Amino acid sequence: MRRSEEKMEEDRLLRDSARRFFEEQRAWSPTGKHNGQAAYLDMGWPGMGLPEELGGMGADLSQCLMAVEEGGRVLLPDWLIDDVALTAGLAPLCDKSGMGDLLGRVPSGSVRFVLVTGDRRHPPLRLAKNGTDATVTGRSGLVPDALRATHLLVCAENAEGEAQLAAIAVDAADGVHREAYHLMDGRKAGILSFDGAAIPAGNVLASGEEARQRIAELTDLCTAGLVADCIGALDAGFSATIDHLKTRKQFGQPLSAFQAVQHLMADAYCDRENLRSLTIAMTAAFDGPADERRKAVSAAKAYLGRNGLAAASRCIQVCGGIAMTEEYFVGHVYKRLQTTAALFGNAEDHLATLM
Amino acid sequence: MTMDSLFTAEEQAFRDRVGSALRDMLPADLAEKTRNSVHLSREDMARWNRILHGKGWSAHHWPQEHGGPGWSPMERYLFESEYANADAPPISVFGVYLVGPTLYTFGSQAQKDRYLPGILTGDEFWCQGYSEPEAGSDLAALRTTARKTETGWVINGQKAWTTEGHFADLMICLARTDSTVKQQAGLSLFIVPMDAPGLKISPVITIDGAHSVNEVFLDNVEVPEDALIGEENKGWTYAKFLLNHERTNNAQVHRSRREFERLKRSAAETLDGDGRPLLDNPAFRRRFAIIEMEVRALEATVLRILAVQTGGKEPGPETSIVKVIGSRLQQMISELAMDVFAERAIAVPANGLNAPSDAAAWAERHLFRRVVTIYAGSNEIQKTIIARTALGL
Repeated sequence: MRRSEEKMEEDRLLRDSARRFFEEQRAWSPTGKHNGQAAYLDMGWPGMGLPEELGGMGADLSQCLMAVEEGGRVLLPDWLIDDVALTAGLAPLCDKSGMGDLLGRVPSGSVRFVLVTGDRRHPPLRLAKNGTDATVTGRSGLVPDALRATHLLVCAENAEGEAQLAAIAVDAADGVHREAYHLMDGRKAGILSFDGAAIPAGNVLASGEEARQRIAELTDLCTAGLVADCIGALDAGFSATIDHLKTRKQFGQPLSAFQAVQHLMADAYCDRENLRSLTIAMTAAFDGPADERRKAVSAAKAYLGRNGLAAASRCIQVCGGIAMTEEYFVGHVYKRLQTTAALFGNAEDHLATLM
Repeated sequence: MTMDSLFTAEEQAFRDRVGSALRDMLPADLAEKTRNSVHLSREDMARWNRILHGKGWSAHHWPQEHGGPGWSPMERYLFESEYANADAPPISVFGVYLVGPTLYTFGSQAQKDRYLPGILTGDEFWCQGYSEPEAGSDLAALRTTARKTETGWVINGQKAWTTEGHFADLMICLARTDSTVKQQAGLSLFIVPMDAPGLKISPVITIDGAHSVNEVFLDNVEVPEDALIGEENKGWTYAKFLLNHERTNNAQVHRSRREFERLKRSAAETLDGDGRPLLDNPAFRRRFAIIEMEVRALEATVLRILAVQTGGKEPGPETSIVKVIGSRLQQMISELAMDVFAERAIAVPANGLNAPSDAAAWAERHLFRRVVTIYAGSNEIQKTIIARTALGL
């Protein structure tokens, strides 16, 4: 949780430049179209967490999540969780077949990985090895950014229930089908179906215990990215709400003068700050044992789904009817959080991990 | 929190060292009493205070020059965590948390020499004379007056909710010294001996059936000139400074963690109607998970504040939330305990032979815990402060 002065200075520079970039280039607008078309790809952020020898920026996880959080502030329609958070955990895989080359192409944006996990309410994805080939079968859960990915990191199990992690190039594999989905908050995602998709056995990056550990860490990274994104969204929602409370008058006074309103916002503030604290603790936990990391991630994700969402809901409540409109920012913050709450395990799933 | 990654190797070694020392020092009967009762006797608290003082740890958050160990904020956190885990009894808070820091910050040299040693050894107990029947949340409206005489001051009035007043030796008393100015600007802080002529005390029994708070009546109580702490009419400033002094102490994070873990063990040992441990009953499991999440949130917030302080900076407005979330969490835990112990928590044998039990201790704690969202600035007052200072509303 404690950062050196040097790191904090780096953090400040990164946060300032990210915020400026998003506010100038990708500010949220009620039309749903973000102003400006500049992509964060231009900032060199994909793979920012990769080490410099792989072309990355060598940013630590805290800095990667900070970039994701800044994107959340403008409700960026692009997903940063894969390009920034997931790739921060891919360096250990660079010795695996073909991965070194692929990871080297991540920073330019020409290779984009997404993590593909099973649907939690259905049987897991199946991977069966037959000599030099392997086949994948099953249907994934919602995969953020599935449509723009060039490569899939597929989390599957073999017939014995052992974990399998495989890399699949989308273009090269037959039997991979992508269905596009519009999410509640306007972002896009996909569901992948694997119809006995055949891949070279060499693309199975890890099996058994090693795969289980890798999958757990990569899943936690994506989940952490989702939480960081919502911290940014909620912060921005707060600012908008407070501006509204100070200007909107009823009964001859600004809404901010009413104690009932103040106390609702104080409750929401407690939730928001606790969520931020849990996010900081979660980030630190990536340096510790896997079991504690898992719990720290689950605590933050469960808190997001319960208290974070409740805080966003209170913002709508105190703003009143205007926050029910498509034109108003605050309602979109709520949709962002509600959408995120359901991805990569909802609050109930993560509560179950905590005990 | 078991997150070693949050602490340096030196801090982890510190934690292990103080933890094992505390376990060695603590008499078993005091640990037992800590687990089974809410209010400890003066004798028990004084005994433990002397043992701690022998090690130099009775005022663990004081700077070295005043007799504390001079620990960093993170070391204090770890000490407090080990302290709670050992079931060490809380020592009287008023001397160590309230009066000591007030005196070493604002008091005269003579006051420091006279009073700090008694706080460190635990030989002198203090109580707090702030609240009054007509001045609860609205503390600045208090009516007790202190009138200057040739030899000192004469104090008249009535104090309420005086915790531990019935066995305290001294009171730190907030009184009005100027009624012509704005309420807050006319208050001063005094040291009043509890055996002073004209001071009467009467018990108030709280809903847990125990006697921990009192009413105190001050009828022409004379105190010498040097009973005044700091400057005349600066009492409000001093009292407010103090409220901000140990802000994270209000969180009671370690006690909550300890009690939660103990409650989990009780739930593992208690069977539900299907003969399975309550902890494996899905309804209970979920409630335990929610509180685990909330405890983690509080721990993370306190650590976040301490990390800022460790960097030598003043923490931001997020400190204002620890009283609200910490007190609410204490209540959530005792509410869950009432459901874990169910009927056993609400009944005692009519023959009066009620042996101490977990269920009885939780029942007492649960009832007394209603107060934690009221005292030390009620949560409604806290929320108004949050809205004003943190949110700028």
